[in-house]
Amino acid sequence: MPANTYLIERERRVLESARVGIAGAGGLGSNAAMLLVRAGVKNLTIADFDRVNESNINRQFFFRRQIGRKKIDALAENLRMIEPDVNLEMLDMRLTPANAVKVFSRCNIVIEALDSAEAKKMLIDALLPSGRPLVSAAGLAGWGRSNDIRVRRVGRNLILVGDQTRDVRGGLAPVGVRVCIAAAMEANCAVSLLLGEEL
Amino acid sequence: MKLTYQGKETEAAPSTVAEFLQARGVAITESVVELNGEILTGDDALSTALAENDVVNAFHIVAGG
Repeated sequence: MPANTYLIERERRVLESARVGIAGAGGLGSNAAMLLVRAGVKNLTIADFDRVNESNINRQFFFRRQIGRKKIDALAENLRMIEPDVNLEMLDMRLTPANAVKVFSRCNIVIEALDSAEAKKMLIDALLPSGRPLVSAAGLAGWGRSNDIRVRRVGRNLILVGDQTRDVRGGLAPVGVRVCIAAAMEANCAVSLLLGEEL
Repeated sequence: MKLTYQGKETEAAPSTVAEFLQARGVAITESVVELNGEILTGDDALSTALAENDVVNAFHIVAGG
C-alpha cells in the first residue's frame, strides 16, 4: 500500500518511478522530503553536510532526541517511519558548482533547499543549463504575509517560490509557520510537474 | 528606447543588461535575470546589449531555508 492511498494507478506509477533531488535537508528540504514521501514519491536523492541543532527544532522535520546527529541520517530515519519502502540516496556532502550536476544527474526534478543566498544562486547557475526543472525558494523568513509567498515560472525550467524579499539576514528569524509554506509549495510544484498538472 | 521591466513599460538609455539593472539598484550577483523569457547565466550574458522592446525581469535570491 503506497503512503498516499488517494492516488489513481497512473499517478502512483508516475510518482513511484520518478526520482526527486533535494539540495539541503534543513527547513525547506526536510519538510519538502516529508511531504513528497507522503504524496507517494518513492525515490529521493538528498544532499546535506550538517548536523541537527537545537535551533532547527522550530521548523525542521527532526525531533529533540536527534540533536547532534547528521541530518541525512536523522531524516532517513524519519522518512522511513512514514514509508518503510522509500528508496533514499542520502549524501553527506557540501554541494559545489563542480559536483552538483553529477549528484542530481538521475533526478527528474531538483528542489533547491539551501540556506545562504550565495549557495542558492550557485545551485541555480550550476543546474539550469541541464534543462531539468529546478524548484527554488527565496523569501520565507519571519511571520505573517502568507499571501506574499507565491510561485513564479522563470525562463524555461526554473520555478521560484517565495516573496523574494523577507530575508533571514535582515534580522528576521526562520520560523516554521512560514518556512513550511515555502517547503510545501516546493513539494507541490515538484509533484504537479511530475504529474503534468498546472503549477 | 522602450523596454518592459518587472512587468511595466519603461524608457531606458542604450546599455547592457548589467548596467540597466545596476542603475535600478539590483544586486545582480544575487539575482536571477530573465531577458525575453530566457534566464541569463554567467557574467558574460549580463553584458548583452539591450534592444528595443526587450522584456527584462530580475528576481532577488535572498537567504533562508
